[in-house]
Amino acid sequence: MKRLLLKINNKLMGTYLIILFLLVWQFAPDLGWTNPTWIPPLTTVLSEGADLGVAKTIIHMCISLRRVVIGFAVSVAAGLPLGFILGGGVPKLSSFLKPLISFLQQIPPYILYPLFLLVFGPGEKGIHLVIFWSVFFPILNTVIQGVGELDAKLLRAARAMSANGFEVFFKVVLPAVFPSLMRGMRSGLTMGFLMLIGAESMGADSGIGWMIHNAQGLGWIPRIYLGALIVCVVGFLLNYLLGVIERVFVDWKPVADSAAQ
Amino acid sequence: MTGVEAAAETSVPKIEIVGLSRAFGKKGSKEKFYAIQDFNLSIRQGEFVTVVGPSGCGKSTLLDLLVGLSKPDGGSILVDGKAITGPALDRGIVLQGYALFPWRTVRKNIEFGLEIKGVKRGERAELVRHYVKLVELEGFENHYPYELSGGMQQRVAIARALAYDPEVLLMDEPFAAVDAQTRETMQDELLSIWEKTGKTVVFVTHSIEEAVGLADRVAVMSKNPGRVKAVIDVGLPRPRRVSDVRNTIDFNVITSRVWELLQNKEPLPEREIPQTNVEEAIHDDAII
Repeated sequence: MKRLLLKINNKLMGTYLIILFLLVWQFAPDLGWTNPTWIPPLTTVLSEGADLGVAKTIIHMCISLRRVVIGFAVSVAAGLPLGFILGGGVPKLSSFLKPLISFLQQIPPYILYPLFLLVFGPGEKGIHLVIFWSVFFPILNTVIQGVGELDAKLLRAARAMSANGFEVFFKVVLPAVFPSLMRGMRSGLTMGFLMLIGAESMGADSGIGWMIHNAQGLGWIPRIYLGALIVCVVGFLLNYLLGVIERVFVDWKPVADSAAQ
Repeated sequence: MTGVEAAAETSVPKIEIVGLSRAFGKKGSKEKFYAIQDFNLSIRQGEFVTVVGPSGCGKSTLLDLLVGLSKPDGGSILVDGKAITGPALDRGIVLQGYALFPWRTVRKNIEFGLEIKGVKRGERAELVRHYVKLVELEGFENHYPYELSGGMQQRVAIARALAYDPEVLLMDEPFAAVDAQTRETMQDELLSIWEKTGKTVVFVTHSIEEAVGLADRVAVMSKNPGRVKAVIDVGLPRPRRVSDVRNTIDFNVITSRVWELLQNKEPLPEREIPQTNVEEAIHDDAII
């Protein structure tokens, strides 16, 4: 009960500041604090969305979201097992693979995109790869870190109770690494979203990133803000969702951070 | 029923450790370091034996061998006349520093061994009820370890080890991490649990008072290599409370004898060291 109240309180705290921000955004031009041409008020931005068509806006959003989800899902599917291997599950393979992987993750996905564009042409494949590249490494790294921080005592306890390898993995390793995995998924998601917008503005004919890029070309400033607002809201909601999942599953230790980052 | 009475019923010792040795490879040399060498100890059914020795004398290595987490390089450990081949649920363990699973509630922690054993859900719930009551943690079943005090966590660890009903309870300095007052309470609680359950207990500690206060017999270990220097019969009355016997003359006589044994640097009479294979003697303990 106390924890619930605290949670509500934390949530409200964050909301207050957001409301204040939106209010300032709305009224700053009216008060003459900002130039409405460069910073149009919130209502102008929202009515831009209505002009563009709510359905059309949502379609662009869904296209972007689909790209993130695909790239993200592939990253999790690949990053999890590889993380466990590199984290010490298979020491020999780990020392074999680790150098190459630490080398590859230094490449910023932005640099790769023009190459993907040339190889695959404009389209989904290149975008998915960029998102994969930006989500995969945060997840891989946090899983490796999580496995590294595993308490040897717990493994000993499980093995002393004659747990086999399968049981040790599912009853000890996986739950112990889960909080790190959630951390990796959240930072990966943020990265993936950032890279998506970049990729879409470089070579796509749909999605929020393309919308922003297109609006910039045509000088439709409110539409740029609309795109930014949509990116913010969707990113925030996705992160919030993962935060809720984290709190539901990791209720066994005090969680310090709130869902909104 | 005291340990001595129980022992009278059976002639085969519960645990028989004969000529046990365990060596580790030294870094950068072919020489071996014997953590344990020619270790002999016989433990009767239902007996409470404590193993006391200076730090680094191989106590934890001994316990690892008893649990079956590592293999001896020489000699053998027989439980009920059969050599142990690895960890099994006939031996329960309470590790130093509790080693509770932080993502499991008290209930789920106690259930861990039962899950491994394949005990059905309904039966598990019943056993949890029983052992939660035994260690006096009623009402805390759904708490997570971080919400409990050190003493309470230790009780969960004991309940977890008892829940799958092992015949032998192995304890590795279980009270080393709790404060002095809690420690004394825990010692008395352990004795009363032992009296109720009649388990055979091997309890490793570096505290002489604890070793004497709890035990039927105290195995005093020497260091480098670790072996049994002497086995002292405690003979203090049962049922016993550590807090009651701590100030008796008998207790002080025994503790000072153990203390003298630990101080005495004289080597034991030379014995034949069992020949072991050098290749096999060097182990590499991998985690996972």
